[in-house]
Amino acid sequence: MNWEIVMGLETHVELSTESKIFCSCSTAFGGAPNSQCCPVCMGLPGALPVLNQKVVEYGVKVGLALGCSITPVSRFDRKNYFYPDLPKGYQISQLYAPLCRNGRVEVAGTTIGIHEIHMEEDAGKLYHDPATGETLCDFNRCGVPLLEIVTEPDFRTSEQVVAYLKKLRDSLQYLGVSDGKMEEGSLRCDVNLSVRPVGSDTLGTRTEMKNLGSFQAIARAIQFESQRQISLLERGERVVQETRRFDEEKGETFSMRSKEEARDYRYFPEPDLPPVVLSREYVEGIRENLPELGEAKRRRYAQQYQLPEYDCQMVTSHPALARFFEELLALGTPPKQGTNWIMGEVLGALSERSLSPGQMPMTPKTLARLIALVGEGKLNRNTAVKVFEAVFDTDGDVDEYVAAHGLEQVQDVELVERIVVQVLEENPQSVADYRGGKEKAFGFLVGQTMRKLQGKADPQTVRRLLLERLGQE
Amino acid sequence: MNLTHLTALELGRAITQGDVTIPQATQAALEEIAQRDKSLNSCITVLAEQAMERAETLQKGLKPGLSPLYGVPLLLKDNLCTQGVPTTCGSRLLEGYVPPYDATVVEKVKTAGGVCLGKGNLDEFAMGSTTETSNFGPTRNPWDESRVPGGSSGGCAAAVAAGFAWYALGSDTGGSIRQPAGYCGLTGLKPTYGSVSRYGLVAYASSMDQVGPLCRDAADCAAVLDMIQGKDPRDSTTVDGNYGGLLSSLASDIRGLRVGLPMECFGEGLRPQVAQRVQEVARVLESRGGTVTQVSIPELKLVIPAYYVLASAEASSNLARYDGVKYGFRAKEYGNLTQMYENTRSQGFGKEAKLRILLGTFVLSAGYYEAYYKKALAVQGQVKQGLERAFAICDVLLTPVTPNTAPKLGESLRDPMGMYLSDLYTVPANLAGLPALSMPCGVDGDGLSVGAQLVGPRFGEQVLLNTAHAYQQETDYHRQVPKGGGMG
Amino acid sequence: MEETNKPVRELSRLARLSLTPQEEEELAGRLEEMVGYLHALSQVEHGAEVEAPSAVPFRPDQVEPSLDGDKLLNQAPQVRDGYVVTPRSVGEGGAE
Repeated sequence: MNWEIVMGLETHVELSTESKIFCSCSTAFGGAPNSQCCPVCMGLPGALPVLNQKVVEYGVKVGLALGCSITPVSRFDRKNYFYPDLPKGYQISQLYAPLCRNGRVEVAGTTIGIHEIHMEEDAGKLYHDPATGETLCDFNRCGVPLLEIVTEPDFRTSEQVVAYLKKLRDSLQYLGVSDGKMEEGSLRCDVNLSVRPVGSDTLGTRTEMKNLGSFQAIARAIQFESQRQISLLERGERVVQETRRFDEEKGETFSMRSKEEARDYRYFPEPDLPPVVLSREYVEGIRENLPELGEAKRRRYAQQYQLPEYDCQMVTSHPALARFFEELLALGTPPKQGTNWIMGEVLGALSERSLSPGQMPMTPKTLARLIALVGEGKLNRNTAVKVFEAVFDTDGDVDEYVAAHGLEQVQDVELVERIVVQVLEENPQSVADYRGGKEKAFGFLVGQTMRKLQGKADPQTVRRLLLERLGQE
Repeated sequence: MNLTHLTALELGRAITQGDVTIPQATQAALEEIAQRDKSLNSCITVLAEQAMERAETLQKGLKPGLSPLYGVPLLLKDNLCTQGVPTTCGSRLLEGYVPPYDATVVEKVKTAGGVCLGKGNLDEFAMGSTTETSNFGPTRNPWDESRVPGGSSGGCAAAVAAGFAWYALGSDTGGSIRQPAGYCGLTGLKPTYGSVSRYGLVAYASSMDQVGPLCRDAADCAAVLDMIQGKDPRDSTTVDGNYGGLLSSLASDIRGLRVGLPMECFGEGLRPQVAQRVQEVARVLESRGGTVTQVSIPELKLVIPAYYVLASAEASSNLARYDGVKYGFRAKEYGNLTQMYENTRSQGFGKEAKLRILLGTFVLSAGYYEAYYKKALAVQGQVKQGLERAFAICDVLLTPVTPNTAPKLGESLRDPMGMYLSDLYTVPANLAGLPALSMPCGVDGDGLSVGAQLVGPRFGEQVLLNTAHAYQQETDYHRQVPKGGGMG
Repeated sequence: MEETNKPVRELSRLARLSLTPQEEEELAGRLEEMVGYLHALSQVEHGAEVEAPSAVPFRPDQVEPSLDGDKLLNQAPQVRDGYVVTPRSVGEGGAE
């Protein structure tokens, strides 16, 4: 029998606000344990939540970018359960009236429905202390704002899932609402998966997979879990609805708890927070100011600048790169030159230094000048690369550097010609070799000429003059 | 002059005029507490030294233009957070807990020059109507020590009645200010929901909890409300309003006041003597120019089940944070996390709290939310509508506070269902978020205080206070003092 | 127990309360009485819920100093190296 995999995603996005969702504590990552807490996020008796307006704004932005309708009157609810990372014994979330509903995203040729997006607070972090067998609680992350984005069960392949997540991450970064880093946990994804015979239109029993820390892990987990379910069904057994954890090392999923421990979260409306009321003007104001997202940019670059798809993909892979690219263009850099430099030298330099595009030390102005010097024939490309390396970290002045190191290209063709004659005279054997059909000798002659010119000549000119002379005699 | 039985405003004036110093008044109150609170047990914490120090400081700062309650000592219900001072909520779970911050109302009282004498006893987490469920033992009624003072703000009510403090801040979720005020012969007011900050009030049922004053008369209540009302950026449920000026606008002219008597509050279960005293209030108000009419609000029929569903549901969630992890009590013995939770909470909560947690857990649990919680919300909506209809034709509603007078200690514990049902008259104001005032209106055959309740429309505090003030011009029930007090 | 009620044991497990057999019996009886009384609500028609009187106010996204960690931690029953300590959390299960 042929089987079809049916999947839906629940993605938690950590929003990059300065302060927490319900109090003024910092959301900064990596502080000393329990140093970013207050009565509100520690759940002290009598403390009350106050909603951060930025969380709503970010939520609406994401909702609009994912084609959702924004709920005019949304509400918070309490999700009740006991766990040491949850100081109040409940999580403030949204169940009955979430912020956004009914969105859709086009991914890899398929439409993925967005069921809802809701706001909620993150829980603290727990560490197991192997020495004592105890659990250590750090409440710094309590109250960091999250959006939970829930899709419809519209995914059929792991490629679609990964494409959706990449697109989502891309949108989050372009909207400036989250860094979307999976490895740091600011993008966390749970996959609900079931299988059914191809052609069936009823859903099979699903399992929920957690702890998926990378795109690769997601693809592997989907592969394993779908095979596990298919094998069960083919053996005549049934799938148990449960939560499963993916073990990266083993590449397998494991049941997290047995079904008799099914949760009862006893949701009810949060009495400490009146409804979130959003006017049409507010929502439209945000819609009008939505930034152009990665996909739209890619389309525009391809059309407007006639750039290859690969180039468009690369320079829009991060909003900071796209911004850099657009600033280069504004400074007069030809589009293809711009993408060449970004894809080559810029990305290389960043990766060598383990920097993200957002941390780029060099300004577009500096690179634009460098590219212009090459274009004007004042620097050859190889020299320009050396200058690039020299000024990248300090955003140094290109003209000053070139002048100080005497790197201007030799513009005097007669001078180049004199050197070419000299080199030919000094290397009769190579000339003979070349004329005898040894192509390699030509490279040697070019190298000798460039050396005598201290690398400052245009290599094209050198080649042309050498060929002319060699052809004459 | 019998210092400890002045009203708060009278003492404030005496302080301003230099007739009494703040340390003298504080000392007098502390002496009363020291001599008589062993038997009453109204205070969980007494801040003798701190209060005297504060009194000395305030005395030095005395100058014209201060709050009319500047220097007047008060008591705080022990579910209001006080920085550096233990806040127990009458529970073993918070024994020894010292909050790192002050509740907004506590800040406001301090700013106005209040001297906090200590923390008043209460039913555990304010769940009860007798102050018998406190982990620190029951409080006794100063009018008759074999009886309860009411609850849950019973410690505060008993203390103010006994002359231990000139006023107190309590909290009222289903009648916890008005009912003990009624049993102890005080004037108490539950403000409009959202007019007083709940920040730092340890939550019982967040959608109904409200902080308010327990005082000797209506004028004092006006002064305290002027001090504590206001929108608070730390409490999202507080609302904008035209706050302040209740005292300066206090008037006793109630000519043309339309007083409604809801039929549903004078029916079965109401003791005849209580009914009689409240009817007499109606006559006094008529004599001062009010008109009294009967009204019918059939929506009140289901207020008790609706209240207990909503309050228990919220309580079951609000009390989840007491888990032995971050603060307060943790059980000594446990083998794993679940046992730590269960042992801590089982040993830490008393029976009444456990019952309400279980009830709240039940009405929220899968399959029952629609049948109970949603229905209770529907009743709440109907009650609001019914009361709105009544306020279209009335300015205030007059009802008894309770069907009875203060029961004997232990009586209610033997009949908890009867105790729940006796919240019948006070609960509607909480469900609808309306202001309501309780005032003494005479005694029953046993000499026990009877309370009358005035309920007003949203933000109708002024009309409630004016009505009570007019009544108190005509009567002196609020001037009665229990025997054994008045040594100051 | 009334048929519409959940066993007290299940509720107490959800609420993380362990009751002695005596307590369980007493609270079961009282709960049954209460739930019986609450049954009156079943006659109520679902009506439109009354709108809250206000909209939630917003706080600007500004960081204020957190509370001194010691002030928070000195209230905790067990603390080590700045962490609050609990028995091992495995088995309780976290959020879903």
